Amino acid sequence: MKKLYYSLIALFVLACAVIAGPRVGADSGWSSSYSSGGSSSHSSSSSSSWSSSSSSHSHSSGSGGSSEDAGVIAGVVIIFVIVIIVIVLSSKGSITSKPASPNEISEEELKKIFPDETLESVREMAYTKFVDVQNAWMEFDYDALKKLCSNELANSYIADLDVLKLKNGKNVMHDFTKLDCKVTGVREIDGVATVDVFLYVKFKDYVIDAGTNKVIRGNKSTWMMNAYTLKFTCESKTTKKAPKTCPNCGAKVKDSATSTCEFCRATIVKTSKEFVLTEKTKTN
Amino acid sequence: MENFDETAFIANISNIFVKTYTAVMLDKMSEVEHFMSDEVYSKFVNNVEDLKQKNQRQMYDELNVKSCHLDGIDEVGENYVAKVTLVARYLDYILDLNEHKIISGQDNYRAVDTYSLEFTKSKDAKKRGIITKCPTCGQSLETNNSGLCKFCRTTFKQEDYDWVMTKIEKVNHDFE
Repeated sequence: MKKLYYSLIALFVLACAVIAGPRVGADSGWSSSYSSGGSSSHSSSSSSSWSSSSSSHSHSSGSGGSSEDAGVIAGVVIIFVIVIIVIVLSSKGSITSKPASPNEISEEELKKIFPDETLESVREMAYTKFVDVQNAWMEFDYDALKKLCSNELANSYIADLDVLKLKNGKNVMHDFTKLDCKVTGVREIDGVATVDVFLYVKFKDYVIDAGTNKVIRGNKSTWMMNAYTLKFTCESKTTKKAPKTCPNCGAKVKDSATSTCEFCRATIVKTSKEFVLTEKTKTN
Repeated sequence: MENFDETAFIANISNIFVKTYTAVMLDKMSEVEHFMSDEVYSKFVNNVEDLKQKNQRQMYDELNVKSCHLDGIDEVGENYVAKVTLVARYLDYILDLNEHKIISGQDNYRAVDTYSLEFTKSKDAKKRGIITKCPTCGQSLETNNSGLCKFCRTTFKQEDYDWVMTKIEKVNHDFE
């Protein structure tokens, strides 16, 4: 935000100089952004960009008269007002362009793979699990992450959280609002059913120092408007298979995304009956 | 090379790189020992230990692999040697673990570093089963995550089965 204000002042001075000065053409603009995270859910970016092109006018020597001064002042004021409007809208998140909403699959297509679900129930599931994952991330709840996510994704998040702990940081997220949610694809391969969901969500996202509670990344007043592609998998409801057995000793395997055989303690990756998040990609 | 899946190989290499550099940050090098030769492992461990003595930690924050490309596979004696060019992005800085402050480097924009890597696999590599087991106690291992057995603390011998990193060299340094 500081960068924004300094840039605003610099722009204002530049605008004054250009309008009042000799005929020149110039563009000015800046963008300030930070981005964090690769594949992790604390990925957040705050960016604002604004560009302005100066107006140029012919300047004649000699007494300019009061009408010229009025024109200069009016030009400066107009630019200043535009800048203020842009800043206010940016901080509210309104100026961020809304991502294009993809097409949703039909109810019939969904029911071929998930006969017990509706588009609404899948949308609800996706949004609920998304928020649950974010909350688990915020609270360093490793057990919750292992239940909500696939093995690989949970391990990746846990490693990222370990690094965040090392920096004595804590990612704070709250005030989630679902702006758009569409079920964009379903498929079933080898007994594993997958559903793709587009989710556009608004929330507050910043990182604080866990000791001082001071914000060290992001802004408490900035709204994040993020679009994601989410993938959830679960055991196929339509493919009838024999109960899963441990490939090591042949015992029946319990129902969880990653289970350990209770007899021989082999770790077996098994598809859960419940949806688990396997991929989360930010798309805007 | 027979039955070589380049896509799976690249995914594997990217995973090894990310796991290794994450292990450096978390001081968990023993969990990635199986991914590399003894020489490469010693270099990483020595670097971590040098900083540890000063209560410092090398950070590769917001790490991700931007690109990974197989340059070629040669036959060298009893082994295959794969040469890889990998470009990684991360915030490169050294953290003081007491103060939680950056003492060198910066965390405002990511470095974009290019690495030249070599991976070696024996021509007589054994085939892995569905479950990888600890050679000492027989417990199952998730070697993509860690090669260290939680029960008996034996390190899995990846070189008997799969590719191991035998060389890593940073060849270019840039910024985003």
